[in-house]
Amino acid sequence: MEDMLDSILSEEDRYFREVVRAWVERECPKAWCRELERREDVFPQDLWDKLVAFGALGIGIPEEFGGQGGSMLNQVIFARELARTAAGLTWVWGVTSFSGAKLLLYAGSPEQKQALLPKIATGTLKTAMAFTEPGGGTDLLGGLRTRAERREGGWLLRGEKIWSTGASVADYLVVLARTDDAVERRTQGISLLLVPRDLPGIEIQPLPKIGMRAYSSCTVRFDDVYLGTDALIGEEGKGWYQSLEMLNYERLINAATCLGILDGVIEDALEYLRTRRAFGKPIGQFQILQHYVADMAMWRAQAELLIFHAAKRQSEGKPIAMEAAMAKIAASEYANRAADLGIQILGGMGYSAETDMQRYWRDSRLLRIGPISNEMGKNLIAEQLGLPRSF
Amino acid sequence: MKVLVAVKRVVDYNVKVRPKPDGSGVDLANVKMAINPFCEIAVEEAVRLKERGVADEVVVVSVGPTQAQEQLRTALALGADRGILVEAEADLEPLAVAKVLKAVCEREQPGLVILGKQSIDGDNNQTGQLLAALLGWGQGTFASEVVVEGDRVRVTREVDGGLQTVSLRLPAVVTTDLRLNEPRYASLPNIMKAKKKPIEVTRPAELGVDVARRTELLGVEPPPARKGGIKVADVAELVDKLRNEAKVIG
Repeated sequence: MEDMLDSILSEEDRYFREVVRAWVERECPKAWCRELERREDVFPQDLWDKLVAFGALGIGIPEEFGGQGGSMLNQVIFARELARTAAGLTWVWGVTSFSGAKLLLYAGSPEQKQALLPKIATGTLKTAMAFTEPGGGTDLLGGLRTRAERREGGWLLRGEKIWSTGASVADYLVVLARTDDAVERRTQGISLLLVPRDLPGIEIQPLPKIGMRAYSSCTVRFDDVYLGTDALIGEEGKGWYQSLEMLNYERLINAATCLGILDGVIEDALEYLRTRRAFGKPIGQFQILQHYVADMAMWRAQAELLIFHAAKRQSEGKPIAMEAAMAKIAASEYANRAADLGIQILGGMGYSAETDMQRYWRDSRLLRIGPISNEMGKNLIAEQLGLPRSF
Repeated sequence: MKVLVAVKRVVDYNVKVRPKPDGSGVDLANVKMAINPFCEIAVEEAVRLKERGVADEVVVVSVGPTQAQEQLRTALALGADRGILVEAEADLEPLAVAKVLKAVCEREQPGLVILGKQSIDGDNNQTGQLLAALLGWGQGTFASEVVVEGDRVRVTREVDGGLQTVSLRLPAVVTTDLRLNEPRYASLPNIMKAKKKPIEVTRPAELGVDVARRTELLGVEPPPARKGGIKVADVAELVDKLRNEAKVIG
């Protein structure tokens, strides 16, 4: 089939994709990623080191801040290619170099950018996002109890966060906290704070989970944590608005992760269909299994077009709220469904922890829930279509 | 010192090639093409010489179709400074390529020429040697180490049964073996910078080179399919078959 992205990607983008593909193939093979993922709560330092050596953490960070430059398209390409083998462990790259760096780029002060972005780009600093709270994920604002109060020379932070992925290994946590109650709307009076992880009063506890086991998602408690004035990212009280764009980008990069998972699933399914024999012929000769993999190929094609269309728009400076939501929902549903069928095709081997289908399934299962549930994403799409807000 | 590197556009090494039905050549329709792996090693070596301050310019040249510009861009993204494409439609034989490269060398006056020891499509292993002979320069083929020392280059060669070291007076021709280095991955900024580096396009005729073939390709066919094995009843039958059918023992 002709490459559907020919009209979207430039010659340089395509060459970049080739380089990343070759790097992933050689440095991050599936079996290796499978072993890394198996070790619960053991940060995959080897993967991190390879990402650093390749310059991956600098992709999307401008060269003036020590990064590799490049646009959203490059980041989407990278996430997809890495996820083909690494699946959810793509977050090891994404949480810092995507979410953290993006937020600093859009909202950080010149001093913060100068001080932190070069460290992110060269892999000497990790961030984790701490937004969700025990009282609410989808209704983030309704559940927001964490507060930061002005004190002489800085802030006093109090509260509890949950599902902060990478918090246990991060140097800095990006925390969403209420800083003002006297506001008209609940989206106001919220600020973003950059919190060094090792401050007194911070307690971090990893949560057991079914996927991406090596990269812990944590509960984080802030028990009267004193922060300097320089902890504030961007403008006081504008934290929610500063986060919104980043959340769109995050949806898109997670969609790209799902697209890479689809690549991996299809690759492994085809391999098994060609080699596994039953009733005297390869099982790929049976019509129902052919239909399964044909469905997967169609899903991938749809996800690919949605994702790259959105990434192209973003790199041209156009809004992508609706496109990113669509791409994220479609890609995560497709990836998880494809991994499920992939397990069915592989049969017992699909259920075995010694093949990758189960890993693709576990990791893509999360992406139907986070970073925004697909149901909530559909509410946003409906709203963009002009219907009244449903929540 | 200027280093000239020759690169060839070939079928990607991961592709399983098939002959055309009429046997006139290998089917290249919709096949992924790439820089010849040995040529990539040559580019890497030249770029390392530049990084060590031994070379001050790396010029990369390809003799081939218009699309060979892609492989020149690859070399530029790895760190070469500028490219030269000598456009030729027909599949040139090694002697023709060597003559073209000789003309380019006479114009560019490099201190060192690095080529892959062979391309993975033709597997001729001739171009480097022919070029050195045509230029009257020394040659160090199958290099696993290249050290420039003043006006000489010391080349460690991978030969049967061990390593041979030769010292050549510059200018010289070196061809690369697999273990010379491990080429880097092009970084994103270098991929973007490669876009702006110049590629000059010329033709063999403009260089005054006659590239007409001296050999004729009679046909290309796949190797015969391997026949299935047989089971033998006992050792006596095995020995009999080895002796009288396979004729591998006396």
